[in-house]
Amino acid sequence: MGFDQYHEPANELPEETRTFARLCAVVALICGWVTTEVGRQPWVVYRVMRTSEAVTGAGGIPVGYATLALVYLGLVLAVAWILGRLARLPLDPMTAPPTAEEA
Amino acid sequence: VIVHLYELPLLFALIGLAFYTVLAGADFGAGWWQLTAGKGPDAASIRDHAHRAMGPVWEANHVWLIFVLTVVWTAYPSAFGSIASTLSIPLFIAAVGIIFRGTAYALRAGASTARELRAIDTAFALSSILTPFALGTAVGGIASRRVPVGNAAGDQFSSWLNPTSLLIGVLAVATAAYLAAVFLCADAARLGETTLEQKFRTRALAAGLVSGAIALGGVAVLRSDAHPLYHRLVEGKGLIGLLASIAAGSATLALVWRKRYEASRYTAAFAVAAIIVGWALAQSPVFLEGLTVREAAAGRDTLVAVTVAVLAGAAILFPSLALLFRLVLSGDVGRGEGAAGQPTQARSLLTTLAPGLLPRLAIACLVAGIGFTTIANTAWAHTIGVFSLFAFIVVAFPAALPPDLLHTPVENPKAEKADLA
Repeated sequence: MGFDQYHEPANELPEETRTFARLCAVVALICGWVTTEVGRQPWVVYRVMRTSEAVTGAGGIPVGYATLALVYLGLVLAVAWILGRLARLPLDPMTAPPTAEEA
Repeated sequence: VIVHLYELPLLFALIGLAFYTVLAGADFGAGWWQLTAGKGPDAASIRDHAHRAMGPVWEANHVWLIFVLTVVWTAYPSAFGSIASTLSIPLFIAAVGIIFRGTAYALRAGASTARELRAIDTAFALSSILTPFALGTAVGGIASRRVPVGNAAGDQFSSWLNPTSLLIGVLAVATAAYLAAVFLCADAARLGETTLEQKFRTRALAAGLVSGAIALGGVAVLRSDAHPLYHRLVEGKGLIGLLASIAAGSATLALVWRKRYEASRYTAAFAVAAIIVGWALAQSPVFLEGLTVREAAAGRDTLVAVTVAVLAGAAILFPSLALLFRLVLSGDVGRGEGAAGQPTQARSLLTTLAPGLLPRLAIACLVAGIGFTTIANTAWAHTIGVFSLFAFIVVAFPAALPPDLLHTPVENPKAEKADLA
């Protein structure tokens, strides 16, 4: 199996620059999404249905969204914890990518 | 039996719901047995067994829930809007439960101490009970006609906190535990784990009796709380499903008692699926209070598109699903390479004798299917069209597979690796 996916050239750019570039990619992605969603208002389906016509009439939506925000906050912490712990474990030799000598 | 075009997507959704109830139900039920395992080394072995059995299909079963939601909101938008807005609270609870389950399962890999493992398993087990219960209460709200047509037109609380909803919520948890016990017992027997087999055999028998008692006792609840449904369930078409479920449930108990575990998997699944059939037959043609299936259906073009899309999707999904089940049921998943990929005699004979026949037959079925369901306008033509499309699925898959793929085994994986590098 090939493992020759793209890797950023090591040592070509400073660590801080690469981290900054990665963050910029995420920000660009989210901003594009926000632009389409906000730019379409007040339509939910452009010139077919207004957002005010589409929104649920159910009560307690702020409570629900606050709960959801807390759940996802907990998820972020849990994922950070598990990734941190897994990153410290040694790699399983059976699943590790081949070294330069093997390939 | 003539199936109208406006009923077809609902039929697909109900098939999806039956798959979800059986397959995801067994996953949820495994969480129940983890929670009730108690303490000590015996309990740890039960929890590990339940965890291991879920590994190959980790949370994949939620595709059925997504399928049901997608079909219903596309083909019956007004009904979906009414259900989602009135029953927003139980559906929200179910969604949070699913999130917690998936997370807990993933976090388990990183747990290093017994205490961490126990905390994660408890979170997993609690959400495994919460989710089917919440979904069951939502079904109860629909079945007892407490969801009227309109945006949040029903009561936010009594629509899912009522006798029928609580009954179906509890029944969902009980049948999940029952399915899981039967499946885990069969798994343990196959692995040769006699102690675990004995434990899950007892659990399967107990859960089967409890589920059966809740289901039959529940009929009395329906009589006072959801009389139209009760009436159609014990005197109308729904009786077929009820009787089939009782028969399959009793057969499961007998099979587990006599240690015929592999057969008991199927009867247990059938017993649970038959409850959904009974509900659907008892409720039809009413979808929601004051709304029949016909009135709820989207435009004709949408229905045709959904039908064709589902059948085409089934052509891709079902062969893969069949392969997954065959591997899981024969115990090959996780055992390593070697057993899979043996072409059958019949298949090689057919492909040798009739090159090109299968693809042509497949295309013919496809054309007939699309023609009958789109251009034709009567019920009988639609029925033929659907059967043609099903025939297309059956024929097209062996036709589309390149024969070399199954016939040439990879003799030396290392050589291939070297070539690629």
